[in-house]
Amino acid sequence: MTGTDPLVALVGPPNAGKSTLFNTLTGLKQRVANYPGVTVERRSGVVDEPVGSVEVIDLPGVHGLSPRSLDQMVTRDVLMGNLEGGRQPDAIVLLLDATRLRSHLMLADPVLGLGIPALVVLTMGDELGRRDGAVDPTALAAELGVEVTLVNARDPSTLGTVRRFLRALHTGGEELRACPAIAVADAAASEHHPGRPLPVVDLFAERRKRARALGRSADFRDPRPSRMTQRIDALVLHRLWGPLLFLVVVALVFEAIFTWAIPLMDATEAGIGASGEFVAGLLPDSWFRALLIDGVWAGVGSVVVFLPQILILFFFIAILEDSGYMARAAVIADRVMHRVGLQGRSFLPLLSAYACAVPAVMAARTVEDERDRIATIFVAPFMTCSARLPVYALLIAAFIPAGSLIGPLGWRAAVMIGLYALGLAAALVTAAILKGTLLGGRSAPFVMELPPYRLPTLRSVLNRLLDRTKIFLRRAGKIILTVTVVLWVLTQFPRAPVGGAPEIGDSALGQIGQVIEPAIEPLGFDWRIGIGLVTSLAAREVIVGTLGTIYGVENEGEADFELQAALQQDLDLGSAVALLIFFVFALQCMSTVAVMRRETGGWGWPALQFSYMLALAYAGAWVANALL
Amino acid sequence: MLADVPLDEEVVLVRMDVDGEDVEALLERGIVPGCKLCPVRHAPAGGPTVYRVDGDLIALRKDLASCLCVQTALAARRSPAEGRKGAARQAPEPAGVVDAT
Ligand SMILES: Nc1nc2c(ncn2[C@@H]2O[C@H](COP(=O)(O)OP(=O)(O)OP(=O)(O)O)[C@@H](O)[C@H]2O)c(=O)[nH]1
Ligand SMILES: [Mg+2]
Repeated sequence: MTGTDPLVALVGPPNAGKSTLFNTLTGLKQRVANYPGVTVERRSGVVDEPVGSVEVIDLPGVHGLSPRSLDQMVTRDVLMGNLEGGRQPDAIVLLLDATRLRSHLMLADPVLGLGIPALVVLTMGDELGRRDGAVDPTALAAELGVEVTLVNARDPSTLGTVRRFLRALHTGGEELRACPAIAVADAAASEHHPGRPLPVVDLFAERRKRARALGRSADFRDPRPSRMTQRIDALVLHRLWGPLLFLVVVALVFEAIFTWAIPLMDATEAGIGASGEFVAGLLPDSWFRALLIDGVWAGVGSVVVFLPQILILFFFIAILEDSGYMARAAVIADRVMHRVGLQGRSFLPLLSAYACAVPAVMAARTVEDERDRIATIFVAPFMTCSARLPVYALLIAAFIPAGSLIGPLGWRAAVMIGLYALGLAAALVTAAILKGTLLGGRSAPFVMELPPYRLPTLRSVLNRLLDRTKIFLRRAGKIILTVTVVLWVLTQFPRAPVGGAPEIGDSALGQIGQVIEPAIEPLGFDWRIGIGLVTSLAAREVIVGTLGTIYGVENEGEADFELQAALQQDLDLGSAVALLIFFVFALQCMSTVAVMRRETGGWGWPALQFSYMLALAYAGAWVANALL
Repeated sequence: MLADVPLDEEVVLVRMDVDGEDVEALLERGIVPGCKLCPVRHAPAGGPTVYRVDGDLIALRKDLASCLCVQTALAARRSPAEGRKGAARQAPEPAGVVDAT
C-alpha cells in the first residue's frame, strides 16, 4: 500500500451495505451485520486493478455530515480531509439502499455537494426486484450529474461499473465526475432567505422535497413491504410470544454451549493431550521438556479446550445479528434500558460486550448523547464477555451436577444463565446509579431503524467465527503463553537441596501466593487461586491457564491429570461459587482499561470503574462464601 | 399526537415540538413535516412503537411520539398550507447550519 494510491471513501447511511461492498471489492473481512451502526471506525483496504491499485476506506454509516455523534464525526473528518496526516479522498462512492431510496436520497445533496468526484451505488438491487420495486439508474444519473449503478453488494458480477469507476482514477476516464450543481437544494433554500441560515426543520423539509423530486424523476417505485418481515415481526414483537421467544432463544443458546460443545471439546482435549505426549516423546528428559509439557501444554491447552464453546456462542450471535433479530431485541430492551436511564441505542454496545468489552467500548460511539455514551462504556465490562466463558465453564463443570432442572434445560445451563443475568443486573443497577448521580440529566430520545429480515449468509457467519478463533488463539498464544512460562519458571526456584525443583508450596510462586493468601482467605480461596486472580488481571481466561500450569507442575509425571478433579480438591461449593461471582464483577482486563482511557479521554473513569468493580467483586464473593 | 394514532392508520406529520438537539435525529431519518407515518406494531409491555415512514420501519418511544403533531391523511390533503406554517416555528439549530454550508 503506497501513499500515492488514489483514495476512495465509501459513504452512506447505516446498514446500506458499505462494509459488504468493501469486503467484496477488497477480499478483506470487515464485520458485516444486519444492524444499523456496526462499523464505528474507518478501515482501509486495497483494490488491485490491472491499471493500478486503489485504496478504499470503509466508513461508519451516517445520516448527514453534522458532527452529532463520534462515528458520524469519523466520516465527516475523512471527507473533509482533516483527519490526522490524511488527505481528502480523491473520489467518493455513495451507497444508498435501493429499497429505501426515499429517505436515503436525502443524503445525496450534502455528500455530492462536497464537490468530490462521485459514483452513486444503489445497493440491494436484488431485494428491490424481488419486492416489485423499480428504479431507473440512468434517469437518476442524468438528474444528479454523476454515474449511478444498481448492484447487489454481495455479488461481484454486478460490480462492473464500480470497478470501472475505480479504474478511472488511474486512467482519468470520463466516469470521474463531480456533481455539477453544488448542493442544489441547500443552495436554493438559502436563496429564499438571503443572509439568514435556515432553521433545521426547514432545511430538512427542503432536502426531503428534493429527494422526492429525484425519486420521481428516477421513476422510483417503492418495493412492497416485505411480507416475511411483517410475519416475523408479528411473532417477535408479539406481547406474549415475543418475550417468550426471547427466553427460549437464550435458553437454547446456553444449553447448546454445554451439550453440543462436549464432543468437540473432548476431541480438542484429546488432540492437545496426544500432541503433548507426541512432542514429549521426541524430546529428551530435560528442564526444557518439563517447561514445554507441564508449563506450556498444560497452561495454553487448558484454555484452548474452550474454543468450541466460544464458537458456538458466536455462531448464534452471528445468526441473530445477521437475520435482523437483534434490532428487534434492541426495541424490546429499550423499555428496561429507559428505566435505568439508558436507551435502546446502548443495546448494541452492551450486546457486543458479550463478545468482548473492547469493541463494545468502541461501539458506544453510536450513542449520540455523551452522558449516555459514558454510562454505556462504564457498565459494558459487566456484560459476560467470552473471556469469562472458560472460567465459568470450568467451574460449573467441576461443581454443578449435570442433571435436568426443567425439561431439556439442565442445571449447568441454568447456572450459566444465572451468571449472565447477574452481570446484566449489575450493569443495569450501576447505570441507574450513574444516571441518577454523576451523569444525570435529560434522557436522550430513542430512534431506531428496523432493517428487514434477511437470511444470514454463510460467508459472514464463517467470517465471524474465523475472526473469533483468530482473536482467541492469538490471545492464548501471546498473553497466556507468556504468563505460563513466567509462572513455570517461578515454580522451579529456589532449587531444592538435592538440586531438583522445590515442592510447589516452597517455590517462589508458592511464596508469592502465601503473601496474597490472607487477603483472599475470607473468600475461601487458597494461594493457587490467589495467583490465578493476580495473573487474570491481564486477561480473565489466564486464570485457567495459570491453574493448568500450577496443577500441571504439581502433578508432574501423571500424563492425564484432570484440572477439574484437581480443583474439586481445593475448593468447596461455597468457594467455587464465590470465585464465579468474583469473575462476574471484577474488571480483570487490561485491554479494556486501556481502551476506556482512550475513549473517555483520561484515567478518571477507568480508575473509578476498576475500584468499583473490584469492591463489588470482593463483597459479592465474600457473601457467597459465607452463605454457602 | 402521533402517540394516540391507532395501529394501521396513516397520518401526516404536521409539527415537531422536539428539542433542537433531538429533532435532528428524526429529521435525518426522513421524519420531516409532510411525511407520512403509520403505526404498525407496539413492542411488548409498553415499549416503543414501530412506525412505517416512507417505506422504512422506525421505532419511537411514546414520549417522543407525543411530541409529534399529526393529522389524518385526508385532513392534510384539504389544508396543505397548515403543515408549513407549523414547521416554521422551529428555532435555528447550529448543527443544521454547518450542514448547509
Ligand atoms: N440482499 C442484499 N443484502 C445486502 C446487500 N448489501 C448488503 N446487504 C446486507 O445488508 C446488511 C448490512 O450490510 P453492511 O455491509 O454491514 O452495512 P454497512 O453499510 O456497512 O452498515 P454500518 O456499518 O452499520 O453503517 C448485511 O446483512 C448485508 O449482508 C445487497 O446488495 N443485497
Ligand atoms: Mg459497516
